[in-house]
Amino acid sequence: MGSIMEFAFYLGCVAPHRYPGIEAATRKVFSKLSLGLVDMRGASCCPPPGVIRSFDIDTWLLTAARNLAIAERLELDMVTMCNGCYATLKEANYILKTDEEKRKHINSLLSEIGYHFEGKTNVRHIIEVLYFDVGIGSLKSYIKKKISARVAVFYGCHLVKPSNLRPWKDPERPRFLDEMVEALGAESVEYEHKMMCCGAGGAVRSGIPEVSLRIAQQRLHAMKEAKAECIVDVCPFCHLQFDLGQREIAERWGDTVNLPVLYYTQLLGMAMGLDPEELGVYMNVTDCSNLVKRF
Amino acid sequence: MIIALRNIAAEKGNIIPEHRRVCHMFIRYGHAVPLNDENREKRIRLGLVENPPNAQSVEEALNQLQLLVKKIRFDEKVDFKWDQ
Repeated sequence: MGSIMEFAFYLGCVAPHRYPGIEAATRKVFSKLSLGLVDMRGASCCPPPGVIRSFDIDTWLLTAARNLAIAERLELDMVTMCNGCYATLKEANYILKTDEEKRKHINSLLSEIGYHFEGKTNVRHIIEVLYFDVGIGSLKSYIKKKISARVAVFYGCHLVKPSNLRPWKDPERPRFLDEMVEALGAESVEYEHKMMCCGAGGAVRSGIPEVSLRIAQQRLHAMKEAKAECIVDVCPFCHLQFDLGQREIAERWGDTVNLPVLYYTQLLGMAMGLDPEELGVYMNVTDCSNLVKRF
Repeated sequence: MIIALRNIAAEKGNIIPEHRRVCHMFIRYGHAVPLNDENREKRIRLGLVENPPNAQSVEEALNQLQLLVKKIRFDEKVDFKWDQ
């Protein structure tokens, strides 16, 4: 990692507005790795594929195009922490780059606010950058503390699908995130229906909370049955679903799961020797203190 | 195909109130999940800026987004009231 790589940092909504610890951990870890993050001033909601795209494709595409144009002005590739934002921005970017008619229509609307979509940026997930650009071998060289824990790795839906627009080799049974967790010294456990949805996406959490939480509850119990000691996710919305969701499940059905939830850069940051407090680990709803004491 | 059909259903007014509220947040704040005071305080404790430089805090950006929403008539589709 000689020269400094820079990315336009797309924050989205859930990380900066509900789990700022995820944002703080990502900023600190990227800084340690000499990866630059440039703020995207004025960026809006991506917007979410589950709600906005479902109701109006053009509003979804137009809003995404404005965000993409902000990254283009910075002349940088865009990086996001959120699977949902990744889906919207990556897929909108693809549509706008490949569909000339759509691009013309969207650009005519964008011109009203002085923006233009050129198709010059690429959309990447932070995990993509850490896996491909930094690499597991290099990541290991930064590790100061071994994470000795049994981890339930959670990929989420949009990180790996649609597979034709994603860089991963095996979208049905991916291993890259397990490898990234194992690189920190942890053990990634197998559990039932690992690749199924957390229950939050597709506008289910906001629309039918009972169904949404029942899905989360199934995932959580499968992880517990596999004797996982914590969950490691890579999407703030999945994170919210498993973290805040545990409290909601306990309140609704008296079912206390007690499984700490960490975002990948929080785990990586601790392995790098950063203070868990600075990484926002104790701001999660689930209690991570007993787990963290062991690292 | 499913998304196209869902768009047609939305055009006919088939959006549940919970989802309509999410759309309203998006229009009002530029974010489906807006920042609140509890998380402003957490941001400060973490050494982050109190308000991230996004559409919710940059007035010009929010104005741009709202102009686009009006232009494309998404506000009408989700029955957004500008004066509330």
